[in-house]
Amino acid sequence: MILLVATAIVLTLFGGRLLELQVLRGPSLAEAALGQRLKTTDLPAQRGSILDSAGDPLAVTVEARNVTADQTLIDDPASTAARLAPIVGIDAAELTPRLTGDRKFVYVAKMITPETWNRISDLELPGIFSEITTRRVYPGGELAANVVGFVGAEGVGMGGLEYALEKELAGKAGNQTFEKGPGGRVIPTANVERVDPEPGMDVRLTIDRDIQFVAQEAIAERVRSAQAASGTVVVMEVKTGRILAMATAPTFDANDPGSAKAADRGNRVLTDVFEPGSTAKVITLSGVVNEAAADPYTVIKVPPRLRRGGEAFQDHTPHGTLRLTLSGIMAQSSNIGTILAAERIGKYKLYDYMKRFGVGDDTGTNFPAEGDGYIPPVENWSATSLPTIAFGQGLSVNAVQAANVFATVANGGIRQDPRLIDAFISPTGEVITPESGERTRVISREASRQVLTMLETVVGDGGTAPLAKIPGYRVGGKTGTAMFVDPRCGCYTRDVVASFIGVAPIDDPELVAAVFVSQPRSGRYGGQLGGPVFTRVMTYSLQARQIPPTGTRAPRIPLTAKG
Amino acid sequence: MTSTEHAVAVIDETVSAPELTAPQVRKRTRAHAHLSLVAPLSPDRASRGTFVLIVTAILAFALITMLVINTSLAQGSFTVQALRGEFQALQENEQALLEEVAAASAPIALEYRARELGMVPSSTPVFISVPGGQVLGKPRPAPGIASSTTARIATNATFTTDVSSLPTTFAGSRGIAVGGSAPSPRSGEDALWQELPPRSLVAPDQPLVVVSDSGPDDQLMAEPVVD
Repeated sequence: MILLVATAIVLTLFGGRLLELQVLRGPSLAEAALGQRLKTTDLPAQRGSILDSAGDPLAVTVEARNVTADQTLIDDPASTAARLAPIVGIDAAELTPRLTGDRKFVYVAKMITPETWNRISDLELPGIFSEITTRRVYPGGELAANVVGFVGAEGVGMGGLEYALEKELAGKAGNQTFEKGPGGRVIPTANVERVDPEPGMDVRLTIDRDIQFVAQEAIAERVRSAQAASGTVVVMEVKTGRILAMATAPTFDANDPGSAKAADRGNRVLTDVFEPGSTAKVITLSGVVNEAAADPYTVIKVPPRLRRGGEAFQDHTPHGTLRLTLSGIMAQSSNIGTILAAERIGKYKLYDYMKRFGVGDDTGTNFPAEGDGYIPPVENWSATSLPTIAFGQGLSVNAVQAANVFATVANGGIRQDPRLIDAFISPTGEVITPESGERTRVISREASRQVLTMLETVVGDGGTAPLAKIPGYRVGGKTGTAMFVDPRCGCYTRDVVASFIGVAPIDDPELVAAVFVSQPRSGRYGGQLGGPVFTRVMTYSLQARQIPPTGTRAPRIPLTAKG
Repeated sequence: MTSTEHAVAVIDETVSAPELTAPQVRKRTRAHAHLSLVAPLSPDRASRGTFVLIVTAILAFALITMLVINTSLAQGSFTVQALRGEFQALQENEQALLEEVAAASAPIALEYRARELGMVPSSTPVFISVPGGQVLGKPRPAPGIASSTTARIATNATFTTDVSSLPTTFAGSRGIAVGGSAPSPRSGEDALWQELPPRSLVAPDQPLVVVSDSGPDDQLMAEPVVD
């Protein structure tokens, strides 16, 4: 009887417990158990590549591993560290503390190659694991680094196009939820939920990596030899507005942005603005020719000094009274001649041409931190504004804007927005071409032809840039030596920005190359510092783009009038 | 128990009824008076044994099937994991190779390699128009090549090449570049040069390697140029 009662009590207790576990707490316990088995892992989206115009990679994402450690599983941190150290390239003394303790998850090394991980894995060290991640690789290192930019430690764009095109490149991360058994294996019959990641788009630039390379080499060497603060080169295709190269020096290695100065990581070609100096005379004289106020043969009497608004203007070399043609004014870069020519069209027209050529207007490349340049509104012009602006002082441009002025003249007078992005390529292979900007006529075709003729005289024997010649080709261009404005004080310094912007072939223009050398210590003039760089870059570009000489001869254009 | 037996008897009658033919019905009606108890149905020992056997077999079959399916699923999971590992390894290998290719084909690596082979940058782009064989540009020896070599390159590349024999696919829209970097044989490397047919100089599809040079123009700077 007692036995019966005891059994009944025990069974009741069991029953009660059963009821509690299965009915009362049942659902929550089942959930907790599932929670133990369920594992959600992020599936990172593959970041799109950045390619040059031929599809060669400038930035690609590859698989990598992070080495992690479970400190509780490591018995001998010192010896583990000693074995890891030579493989991951971190000092053993630095590794040991990371392996000592009772944390179950610490990072030992980040973004090593899968190969390196295989070597670690072969050691079969207890407590050492890896997680799969990705690494951004720039195969060219410094090649187009300032254009392409770089990513931070988390793989997010921090500079250049990597930053500007983050949305397009990044894609969308996915995730996977599954029930795992011991050892992390997926339990086959259990539920698996998977949201596939969406890979980012590839971006194909208009940059030609070979021309880019030659441009970078050339400007780096010039900056070195001229002991300049910096230098930039832009190469553009005249008919399409495509930017084939944007080089700047000093530059940086995109694989190791941390070791470079912040100033060297930006893209000076678009971010730095400066006074264009004499290269702006092309805008002034284009306006004069387009308004039919003068033609390349028109003779203008150029006095040794010219008083305007209480200031006396001079040319760079003292001279007596000269009788220069408009071509001669261009070839010899006469300030006084340019002022006198500009006065033939007046300040409103001059301002209008400056605006129509794109001064103070963004380039449409949407590059981060682009400097748009500036020209004061014509209402605010003083008596000295027209003379100074006519020869390129008191306004600012960036290098691409300056190059685009010449591309506009070379393109029969039609201005188009420079293009840096050729296309986006979706993961499915769909090619999305960004809209090309508007095309506007700035000067007539005939005016364009006349200005090009005048530009050819600049590299002629009487011009300022005989060093910019290319044997076998007819080229033209304009030199510039502008006073450097210190951005800290907004004042003029003794330094200059020496430039040469040229067009080839001049009678059937295909390419424009612009060279800027900022604050040189050795040498000063655009023709002397920029000319040879132009020649080297343009010579290569003509070969690379397979542009043969036109085979015509330059006309003889008088620079001075007799008598 | 008795009620069951009665019920069985009754059921027996009722169930059979529709199957009876008309004369039988009449006979039954007569027999109705002698209603008696029927012995209860004894369970058939043999058929019960069969039943148990069948159920056991089904159960066993189900269990074994479950086991086989589960095992094969687990096996599949192992295979998937192994294949994933292999896929991962292959993918990593592919990426490592692609990275290597990218690094090797970077312009700076090509320049280095070209210089190693004794090539120098061309300072004058020269083209041959096809058809016609007209030489566009001014052929000039690239700086830094020994004169005898220069003569040979010039002869091979620019003047005696039978342009009309070139496949037309070689012709770009405007012509053929021949001003590319020409290999300049150094000691003992003459063989290399001779193996190269002149035509190899003029493949326009390949980017010509033009590399840094101090430039003859820098040396031309005798007179100060003013701007």
